[in-house]
Amino acid sequence: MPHLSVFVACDKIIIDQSGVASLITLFGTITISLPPEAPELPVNAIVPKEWAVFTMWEWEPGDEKKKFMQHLEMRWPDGSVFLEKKDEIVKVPEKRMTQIVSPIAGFPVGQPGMIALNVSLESDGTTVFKARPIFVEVVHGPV
Amino acid sequence: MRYRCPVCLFDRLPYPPTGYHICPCCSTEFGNDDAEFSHLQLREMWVGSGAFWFFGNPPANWNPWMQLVEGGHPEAIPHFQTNLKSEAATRIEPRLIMPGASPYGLLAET
Repeated sequence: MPHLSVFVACDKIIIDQSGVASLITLFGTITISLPPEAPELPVNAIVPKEWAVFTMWEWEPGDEKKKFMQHLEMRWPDGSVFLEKKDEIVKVPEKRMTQIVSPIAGFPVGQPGMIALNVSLESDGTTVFKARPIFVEVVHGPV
Repeated sequence: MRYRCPVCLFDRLPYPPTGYHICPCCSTEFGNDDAEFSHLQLREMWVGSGAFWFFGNPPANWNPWMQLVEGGHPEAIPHFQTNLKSEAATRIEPRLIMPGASPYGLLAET
């Protein structure tokens, strides 16, 4: 079973010609500035912003003929699901690792608090690995 | 076959957006509402009234704003923010890891 070696949320990912990834602006805290006279944000508000989740899986001997599915799930601070994505990961011969870029077109800002990102690995419909979640904090602040 | 609503961009209509079909998301009646108003006007009306789901239960994890962004109309989203700033969660303490080591000549490969 492959093991997760990188799991981050970031602003931009650059993949060079040889397939090497560079991660730009790792997300820790996102501050959204709200003018005092602005109407209250809907709890499901998003900002149209492209960002991405990057994962890298390191293969182990014997993984060649197995099929795995990466399940990415993102939750609002109130615990409800914001999005889910599933990607099949396959071992490319002679490559030690597989990297997955999950682009997301909008960032959830409606609720201040911790946005939780969960990644798990499924094989034959069964969850075989669940990573510790990572968090991006959303702060509502004045302009 | 699935169709996309030209008003709210919901992309799972089971029928084409014509012939008096009604979008379950934004309630547009095609051939009636869009005979009177443009799709842009109807979209603005839907967004202005809160962009709520119209009929029955919305699909799991449905978000009207993501639907507009993924449908190619991010400009339809109300301008919730004036500024979005990312900050590191940790303080970075620069350290010289290998004195004298050159960063050149390294080749990364996955």
